[in-house]
Amino acid sequence: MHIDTHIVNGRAVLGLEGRFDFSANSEFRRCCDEALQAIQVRELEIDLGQVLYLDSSALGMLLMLRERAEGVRKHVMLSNCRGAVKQVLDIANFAKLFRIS
Amino acid sequence: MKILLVDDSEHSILIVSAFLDMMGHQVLAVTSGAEALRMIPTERPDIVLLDVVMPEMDGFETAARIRALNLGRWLPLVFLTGNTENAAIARGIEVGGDDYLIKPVAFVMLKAKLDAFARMLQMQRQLEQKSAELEQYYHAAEEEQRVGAHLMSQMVRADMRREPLLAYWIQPAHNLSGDLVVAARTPGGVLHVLLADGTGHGLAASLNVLPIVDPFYSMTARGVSLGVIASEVNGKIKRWLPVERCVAATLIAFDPAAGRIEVWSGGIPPPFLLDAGGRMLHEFANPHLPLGVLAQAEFDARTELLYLEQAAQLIVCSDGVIEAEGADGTQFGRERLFAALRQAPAAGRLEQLKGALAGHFAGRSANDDMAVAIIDCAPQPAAPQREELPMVRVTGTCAGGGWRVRARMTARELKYLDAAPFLLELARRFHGIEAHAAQIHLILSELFNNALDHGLLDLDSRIKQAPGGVERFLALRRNRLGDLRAGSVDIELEIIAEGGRPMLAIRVRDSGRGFDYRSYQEAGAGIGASTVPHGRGIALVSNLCARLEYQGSGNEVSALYNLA
Repeated sequence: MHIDTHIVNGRAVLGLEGRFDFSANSEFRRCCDEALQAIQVRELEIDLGQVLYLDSSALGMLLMLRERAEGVRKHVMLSNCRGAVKQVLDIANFAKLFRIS
Repeated sequence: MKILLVDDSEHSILIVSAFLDMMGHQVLAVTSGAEALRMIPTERPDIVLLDVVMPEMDGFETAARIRALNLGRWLPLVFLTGNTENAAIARGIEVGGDDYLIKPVAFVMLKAKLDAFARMLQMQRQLEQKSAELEQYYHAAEEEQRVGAHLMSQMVRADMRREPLLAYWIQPAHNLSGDLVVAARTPGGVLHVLLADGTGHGLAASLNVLPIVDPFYSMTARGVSLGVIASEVNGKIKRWLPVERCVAATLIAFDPAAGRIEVWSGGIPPPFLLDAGGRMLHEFANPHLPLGVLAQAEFDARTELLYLEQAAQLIVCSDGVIEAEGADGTQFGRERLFAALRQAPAAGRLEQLKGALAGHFAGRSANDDMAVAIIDCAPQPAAPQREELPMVRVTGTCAGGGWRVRARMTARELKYLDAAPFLLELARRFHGIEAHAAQIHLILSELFNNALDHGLLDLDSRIKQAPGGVERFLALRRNRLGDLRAGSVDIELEIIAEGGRPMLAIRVRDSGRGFDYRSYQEAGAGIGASTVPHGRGIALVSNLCARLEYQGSGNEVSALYNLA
């Protein structure tokens, strides 16, 4: 999976592209860690618009991110959730944990 | 390196050997192809230098035969040839040679090429080693999976397979399934079914779901309600597993006697009810987060209830079924799921679904674990004499960490419900209660029994003092309880903080006339006082609690128990 990061106005936008599954683990963690540690970043937006496929390990990675973000008092939101991705997030009721758009 | 030199000319051998010696290599020299073929399997050289022009067997034929030996590893063959024509050289490579050197052999060329081969051999060796390690790892992993699968199948008990109302199917994507179906009946005959889907699949996923099995069985055997089971299991998963591991689950309770279905669902595609013709009667909600995500204080144990009016089938599948990727690249999807189920009569629906999925996969292997549970639900005809016994009405609220639970039992419930164990089960929902379970059980029993015996049944404990008095007391109690027409006992449990310490506040109120508690309290000031059996109980409770107060006419009592 390919991840594009850019920071604008204190928000780090991580654009994910491809299959968000177990193989994306180390890359996702690395990008999130960088974003969370950057001082000028106050919130993270995970853009899932280009994600084809999301599975339960991706849900786990998002849970992990949420916990670490809380630890450094930064917000996490999920954007451009469509189709199969939105379906999985709905079934898991992740709207209760994340701001989703 | 150990180098095998094959040349019919002793002179050549001498010169090349000298070179090789200077480079620090170990040299073995033979004068014919036949000898070379004999030596290679035993001596195992690292590289062979082959003269091309030799009597009987030339270099090319020797090379071909060396290749035919099938040594299992790469043995570089380098021709030594005076023939510089491309055709000849190409033919050499074709028969199995790797490189060539022009005679007379120049030292620098020989050294350069040998060094290059040495590097390649080194890489080859590393590759072989990695390959061997991988194979070992693979075997170890397969063994772990085998053990895991055995454990899983043992934990899923045999009585589930005999349950007549349940048909289920679990299909792991590889060896071990992270999807689980377990079922058991409560003592009251309610069928509990749990379908769980752990994060990921394989061994790691099945480890996620294992902690659920035992609590599910033990709580079901104790008749614990669905919401409480969900909450307990959530606590265990949250505590034991890392934060990114959670378990999507659907819990179902089907009470055949009451014709009632209860569902708690979080993270699994919502279960649905089909009628005899396969048409959708009701689709349940899936409102909760998977187990293990929320802390206990935030956990929502609310369930959805449905009363049956006709025979129906309740079906629940893990997302692996709906998202199954077929040979055509599409997902199986809900439409195909409903279509498959509609096509068969109730008894054959599982087989129909399995067939439809097999067709969808068309030989391609599944990408995720799949699990399906189908429960035959039919309301039983009401037994004529027995009236519908209502559940004890319990209201619970959760406000930022402190629970308050209030239970009211009216005459009907009091006839059959033994409140103390039931109330202790409620109390155990609170953090910090378990360590005091025995004491709290005692306190609840005492206060409840007082309320019932003295408040509602008007029994006098002094009856017990006379010989045979206990039996008379109990007989009287039984009769009066059987005759009880009106009255109620309210019990309230609440966690409060007092002086910075957590306390359990217990309030019991009965609708009776009360009693002269003041006289009992004075008379029973010490537990040792044997003349007042009633007072002993109260005195004991009083000793255990931080505070015990009777109010009103004695029909209301408040106790405060220190949990710190």
